[in-house]
Amino acid sequence: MPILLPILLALACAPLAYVAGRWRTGAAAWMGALGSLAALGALAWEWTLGPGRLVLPWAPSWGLSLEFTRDGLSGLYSAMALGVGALVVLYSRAYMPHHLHEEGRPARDEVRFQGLILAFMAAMVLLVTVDDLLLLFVALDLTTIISYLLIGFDREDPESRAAALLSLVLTGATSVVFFAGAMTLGLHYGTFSLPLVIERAAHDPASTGALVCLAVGALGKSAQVPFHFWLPRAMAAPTPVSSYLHSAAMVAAGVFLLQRLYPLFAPATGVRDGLLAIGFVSMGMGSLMALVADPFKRVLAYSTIAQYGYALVLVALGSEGAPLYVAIHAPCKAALFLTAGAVTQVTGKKKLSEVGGLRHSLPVLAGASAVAAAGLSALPLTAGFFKDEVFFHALAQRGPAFMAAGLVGAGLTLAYTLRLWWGLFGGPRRDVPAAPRLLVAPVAVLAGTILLGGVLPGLLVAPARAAAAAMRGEPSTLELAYHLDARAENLLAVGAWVLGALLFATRRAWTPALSRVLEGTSRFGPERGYRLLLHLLDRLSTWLHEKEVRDLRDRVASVMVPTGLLGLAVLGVTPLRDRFKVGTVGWADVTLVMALAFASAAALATLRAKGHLRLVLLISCVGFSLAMVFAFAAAPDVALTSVLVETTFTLLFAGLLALLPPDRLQHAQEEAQKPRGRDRLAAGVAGASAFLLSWSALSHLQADRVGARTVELAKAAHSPNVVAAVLTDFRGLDTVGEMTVVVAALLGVTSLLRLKGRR
Amino acid sequence: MNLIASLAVGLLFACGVRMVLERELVRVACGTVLITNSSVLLILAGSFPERGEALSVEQGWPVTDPVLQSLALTAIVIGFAVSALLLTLVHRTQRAHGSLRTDRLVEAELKRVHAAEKGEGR
Repeated sequence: MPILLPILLALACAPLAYVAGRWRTGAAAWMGALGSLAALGALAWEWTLGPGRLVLPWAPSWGLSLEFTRDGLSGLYSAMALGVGALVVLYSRAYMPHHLHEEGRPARDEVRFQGLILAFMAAMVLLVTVDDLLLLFVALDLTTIISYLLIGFDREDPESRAAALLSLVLTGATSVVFFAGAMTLGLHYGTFSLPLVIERAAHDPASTGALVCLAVGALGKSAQVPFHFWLPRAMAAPTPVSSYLHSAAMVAAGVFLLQRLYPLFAPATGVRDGLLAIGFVSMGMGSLMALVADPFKRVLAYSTIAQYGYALVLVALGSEGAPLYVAIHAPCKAALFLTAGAVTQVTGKKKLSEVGGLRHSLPVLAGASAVAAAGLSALPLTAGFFKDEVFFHALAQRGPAFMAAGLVGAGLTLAYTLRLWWGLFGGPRRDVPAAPRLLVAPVAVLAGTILLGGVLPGLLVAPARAAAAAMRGEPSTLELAYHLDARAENLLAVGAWVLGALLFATRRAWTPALSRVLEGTSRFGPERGYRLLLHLLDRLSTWLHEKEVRDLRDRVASVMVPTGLLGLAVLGVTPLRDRFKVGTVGWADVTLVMALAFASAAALATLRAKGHLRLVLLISCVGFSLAMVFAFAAAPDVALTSVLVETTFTLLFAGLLALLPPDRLQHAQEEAQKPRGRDRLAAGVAGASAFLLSWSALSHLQADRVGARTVELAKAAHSPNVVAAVLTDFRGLDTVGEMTVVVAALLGVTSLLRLKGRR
Repeated sequence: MNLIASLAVGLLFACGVRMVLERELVRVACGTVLITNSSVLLILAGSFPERGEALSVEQGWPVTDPVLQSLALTAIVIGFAVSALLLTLVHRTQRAHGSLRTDRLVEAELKRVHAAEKGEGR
């Protein structure tokens, strides 16, 4: 049970914060942060208990259960989500009032925002803890939905709404693909439980199609090429959202999925090579875009795409360092995002070209973000150094071409990080008011963590090894230490720094040309395809709507005809031998047949009825003939009710005709006499389907009937009338429902008739 | 007997659908009444093969399945209530729009939608 404790605490955070916020707006953030720290504490306590699993039966007859696991991977990612979550919530306490004021919204909306952030945190903790393919999908979709609400938090802003929709469509669609993959695996292996699936896949590798589906879901979440374009657009969200969702949580979910499912991918070298290529492309594309983007949140967004490209490469290579890479990247990127938000709040500017020289006014922020930037670009004495060390280590095993690609990637990272930091804090001095302490403190805490990891790398080894072991299913021998020798990793790191410094020093020479090239190529990107697709779908839906609304009859027919065809199709796939039995007609049935014939003739006659009075009479003729059928079928209660109902109905109908103006009726009547060919066809299809289906049903009645037993039971109910016993006793609840319908309809009728006037 | 009963069900259903697809609201309401009738008939037709005698009941003779009878009863009553509501709605629609023809109603609806869209565009 302790496995559930962090999840339950995380789930409790959002409601608790909401309640606290109702009491006092400012209390929500502190309550939320406290709750997430408590969850973090529970996680740490549980860590001391060692790995464990919890299986709760859900629908055992279908083989479904709720499975949770506590291993290195889930521990690492939960800690990341909870820790960064607590800091971001606190940060939002200082950030949101200003933001809401600028948007012209009431200050209490802050509570809603923090509640959503905390709900997202809970969904993320759930996602990393579940150990079941179906639950993985559910948690994945939870994060998608909450992120939609968070990205579109500024609901008055059309740009923000469009960005939220884009991210919802893209991550939602890819997670449906993930679901398809999960279903394929689940049906193939007969279970959705992840350990069982992995165990069975060891003898019988998963199909490439299923793996590709799973990978597409992960790539969409992690904003990798070709699904990357939602991430820069999502920067329209308030900065705490970008900082949390787009560094530590949502985009991490994709790579997490791949790590969790790694044992399935391990034998499929083809799929892994594809992922490798996508990782390198994302890396290159993201880094280049980050080098030229002007709004600083966009620089960070492109950098995120590039960094998750690295993580994808590591997963595809099956490296032990993949979980560590994501875990170290998260605080660095979150701190830089928070810095960007603080700078925007203090200066009111969002672009690199508009700010600069802030290091004198914001010394603590400049220092802390320098540490975070150093971590991102893997300078020594920060934890970031080790993320690149494991990266280079994995590449060095694959050969020089990979090493060169890694070197260029790391060099670009250093160049754009330097450009970002220098753009914010470097250059000629500019004086601005000091930032609120609560805006700076989370950045400082994150920077402290990064430094601590860099100075004492021993602290990182245990969680990294546990996570690597959980990912690869074998004990890990990952080592993290500084080596002062000429090994490949060190040479590559030094090369990357030199390259990055050179690129930064010469940036004025190549920036304009690069931005022109990138602008040209971005015109043909997948984003354009997405827009085109959306536009075409919009057109299609408008066209269908117009078509459908144009004529009510087509709308009805569009329900009736497919239903009829479906019925016929059902008959088509069932074996037809002995399906239809004609049955016997004895002398006793003659009366029944005659009454049926009468009803059918009356029904046919309604089609040609001229004048409404005649129509009413023919309809009641159908009803009375059926009452006759029921009487001959020895169902006196039904027959009596039927007669009663028909009489009332005929009177009601005739009364209605008296209320309707005669000239309108005349007009309508004339129009109605022009039937269309396709209406006949639709009626034919529907009727034929009803006929065949009921024939098939009536030919195969169960031999022993419930009715016989009901007759016995009626004696116990002290009712000589079995039907009454069934209605009032055995199926009493049905009758209550029936009465409700009747009363509701009656109320509707009386209130509609009482309405005066035209509307 | 199966064949005859299901033929009647199919015929009533087809007539109902044919009337529902017509352009005038009173006839549309009549169509739904016919469809209701066909479904009641189908429910009770399940008891035709082993039914009792219509008028004389003696100890030990077969009786018509009481469960099907009560189901048919429920269906009849609900069908009646819904049809009554539908007819009243027809009356209301006529009062509100001054027409009994679905195409006119659709025109009015489209006009309103376009007016709303224009209002939004402004």
